[in-house]
Amino acid sequence: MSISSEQTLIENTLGRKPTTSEAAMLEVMWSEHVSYKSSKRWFHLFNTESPDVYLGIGEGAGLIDIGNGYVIGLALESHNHPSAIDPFNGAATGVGGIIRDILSQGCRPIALLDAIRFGPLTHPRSRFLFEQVVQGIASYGNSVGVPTVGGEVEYDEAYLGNCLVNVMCVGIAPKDKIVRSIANRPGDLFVLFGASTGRDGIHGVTFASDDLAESMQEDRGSVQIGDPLIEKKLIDAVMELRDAGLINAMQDLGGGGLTCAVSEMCERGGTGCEIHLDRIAVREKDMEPWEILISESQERMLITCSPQNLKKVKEILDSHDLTLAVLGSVTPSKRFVAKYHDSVVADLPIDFLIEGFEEPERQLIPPNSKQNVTSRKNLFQEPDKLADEFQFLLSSSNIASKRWVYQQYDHTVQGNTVLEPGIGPAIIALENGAYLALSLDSLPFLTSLDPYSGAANSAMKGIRSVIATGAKPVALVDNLNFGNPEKPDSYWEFVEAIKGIAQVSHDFHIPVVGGNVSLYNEATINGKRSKILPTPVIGVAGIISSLESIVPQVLTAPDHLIAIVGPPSFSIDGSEYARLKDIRVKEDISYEPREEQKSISFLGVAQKQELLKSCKPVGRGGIITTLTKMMLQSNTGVKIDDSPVFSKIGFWVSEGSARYIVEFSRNDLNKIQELAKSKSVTIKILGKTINTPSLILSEDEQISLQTLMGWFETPIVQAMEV
Amino acid sequence: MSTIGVIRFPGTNNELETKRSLERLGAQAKIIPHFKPELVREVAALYLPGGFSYGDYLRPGAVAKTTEIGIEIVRAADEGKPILGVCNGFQVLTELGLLPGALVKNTSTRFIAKWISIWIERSNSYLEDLAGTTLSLPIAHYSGSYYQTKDALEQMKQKQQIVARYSLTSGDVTPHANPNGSLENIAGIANKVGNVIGLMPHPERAIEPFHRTQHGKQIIASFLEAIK
Repeated sequence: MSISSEQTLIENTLGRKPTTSEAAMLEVMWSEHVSYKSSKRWFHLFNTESPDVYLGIGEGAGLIDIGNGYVIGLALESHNHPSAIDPFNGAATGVGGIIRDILSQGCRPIALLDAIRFGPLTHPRSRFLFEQVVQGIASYGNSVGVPTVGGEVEYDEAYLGNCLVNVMCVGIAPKDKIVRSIANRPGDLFVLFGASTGRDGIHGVTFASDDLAESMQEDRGSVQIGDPLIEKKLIDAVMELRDAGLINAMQDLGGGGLTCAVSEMCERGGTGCEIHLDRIAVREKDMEPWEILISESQERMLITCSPQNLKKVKEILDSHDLTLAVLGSVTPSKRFVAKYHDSVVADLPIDFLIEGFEEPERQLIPPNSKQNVTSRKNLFQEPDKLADEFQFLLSSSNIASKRWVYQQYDHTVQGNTVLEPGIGPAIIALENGAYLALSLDSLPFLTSLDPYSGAANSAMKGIRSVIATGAKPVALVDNLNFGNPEKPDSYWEFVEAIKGIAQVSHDFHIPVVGGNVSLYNEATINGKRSKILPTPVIGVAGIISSLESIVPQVLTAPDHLIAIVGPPSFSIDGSEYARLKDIRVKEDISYEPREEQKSISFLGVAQKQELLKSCKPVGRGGIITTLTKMMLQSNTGVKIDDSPVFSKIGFWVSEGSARYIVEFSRNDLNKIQELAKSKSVTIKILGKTINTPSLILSEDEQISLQTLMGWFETPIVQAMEV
Repeated sequence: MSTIGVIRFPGTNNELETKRSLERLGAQAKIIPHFKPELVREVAALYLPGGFSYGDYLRPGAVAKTTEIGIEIVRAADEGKPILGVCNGFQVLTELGLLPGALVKNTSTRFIAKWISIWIERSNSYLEDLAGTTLSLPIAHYSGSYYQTKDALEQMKQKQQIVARYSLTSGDVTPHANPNGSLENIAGIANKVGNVIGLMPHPERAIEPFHRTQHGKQIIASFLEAIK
């Protein structure tokens, strides 16, 4: 719908021209970022239910019942556009924003994960963005005291114009302390507290709903600046207010600022509001009412409380040195009334503000599949020496160790971290005595070749890694980063990806409890269209009942057998190896729920019978990458069995789905084989663990762990520090 | 039984795991927020946990030292109460003048979070009983590089005020084992009397069965021993 027809709709509905404030409010509320007007129509495809879901999609965080009277909260959001303009502050405030989403449900934030994507490190601009984003995340997350326990980093030409910064936060709360974002009690007071309100972030959401133009510098004013000290005080104060039972409803001020928070709280409660903008502490001179209404200044929370509790609320906020403003009250009117020095500057029906827009028409057209497809056969040859290819792959920036990144993140603060970054999914200990496995993954290259299977496998990648640790996956969150929805090919990719994730959520009975959509990740540089790879980032949370049932992700001891569980695969289609060789073929790319299920059910029994010494899914970079990680972390070598199969490069680099590397005792070989047979799962013995710190491929070819370590550990450090 | 006060400035962020770790070792602990300085007099010992007091916007610990509760901490030290400052707590103790020297930015100019080893020295402090052991603990800091003038360092050595140095797992103190550029690998020091200690590594993060080591227990146990 064009802007002029939206104006006509507004004038017809209101019977008058909107005021300046109203126009600004409608603009942000009807932006893609807040309204999800191109995406919401597909969300019904997701499985959103399970017996554990306490609160699904729709508020700040999805809540999952984890037993013993506790819930965990999950939220995932992008801060792509701000990070492209001002990477340090964009990334930092991305962290701050997602923490407040978790806090807004009354949960204490306990873990952060980040999925970040840039152009190749050979470009100075990419290195700059990468460095600044990592520092932004570090400065905010470390300071606020929430451990950054995992995530992923990827580099591709496609992110040169638009870097991606997706941040996930997890929180925990006793079930009886949960807070909802529903203002359903007329007469309650709106109390805004935290940072003062400035002009930062004005029109942040509308700018996130546009293509990034060449004149990026001019948009810097739309990027918010973060203050993690205030955020930590907010956490302390909210926990105290929550425990004292003083909060009736709460929401953080994020995209769309005060307008969005107030109108959403009222809409859910079937109420309205009357608020006084002049009561808000502003940090800049001559701020207009409309600016106050849509400012996206950070570190601000909004609660409703009963008038008789206001004194106690004030006392607690004062003790934390937090500024507060009593904005006004919840009304039964279902209208958003905003006043400035007693004159009405906005008076809009809440439902019109939230959903008054007409859903835009969107076209779906698959791109011409003949385009850009090269033939594998012409390009791909068996190498003379496997080691050369291993070096090529392991030292490529997408596979190489991200230690340089995660060593800048405090991953042990709060004292609950069990499995630290760089090994597998994160694992943290929970207050209820259980353990939480967390992953954040995407396979954009695969998704670019086949959006449906690529997105489904992006979800499976996280599910596999969580399951390998012995966890039961309980929830998914997704962050869908795509191009311009007004372009039919981009929109088709987006919808296919949703279908893929939705299918997984149904096939494996894992509910989608939250997420975020980031569209318009396109830039026009020198007149040329550059869009990101379609990037469906999926967060997976799984529960492990006890410390003893956590399966190690690294090899444990010499003289154990190592095997591959799952369907044999030699295809390089959609793999990192293929991307490096610029081979874009999608023949063998598929989503295989039955194979996945068979492998999962094998692992379930093997874990229960304590047959697995270690287990890790075959991930990005194929068997060689997964095995290298398992060896390096434990300094255990491996001798590969003598078989022609193991001399093929495809075997080592294929990322074929539903597969896991498992380590077990020789004594359990029979049990393992029988179990595999009963589950109709293929199991192939790969070799054995050895005392010698080497990967012995054959009599003539072996690679020391020292050498593997050099290939794997140095590339990112070298790119960034030399 | 006597209680340990865990000091929380605005921006302190290790207070909960610190309290929990003290309790794991059988102690009673309570968090003392900055706005209740009077509570400092009621406790037998103080643990100043890590974090970013007042955001560390000016300089780590620089604002914390100007507070009322800062005055109470100095009083507690003068009374001889055992005090342990970890990470930002260490930085606050140097700013308060309770410990000599300063903690400056890591030589990498980056935040560093990883597991390291420390060698415990013979000292005049309540960690003396651990002298000769090597402990593996996490560090997580941006300004952890210990700095001191040459003469003052000599005096500290004479008074046996050096408590811990970064080392290899073998206990060897080498330049390679130094994560942040600290002078002579110094990771922890004590005051002249030995009742106030500052450490950059985090004992409270190496306690639980699921932590990579439980070496933090030894430090906290010695700290608890010091309470009469």
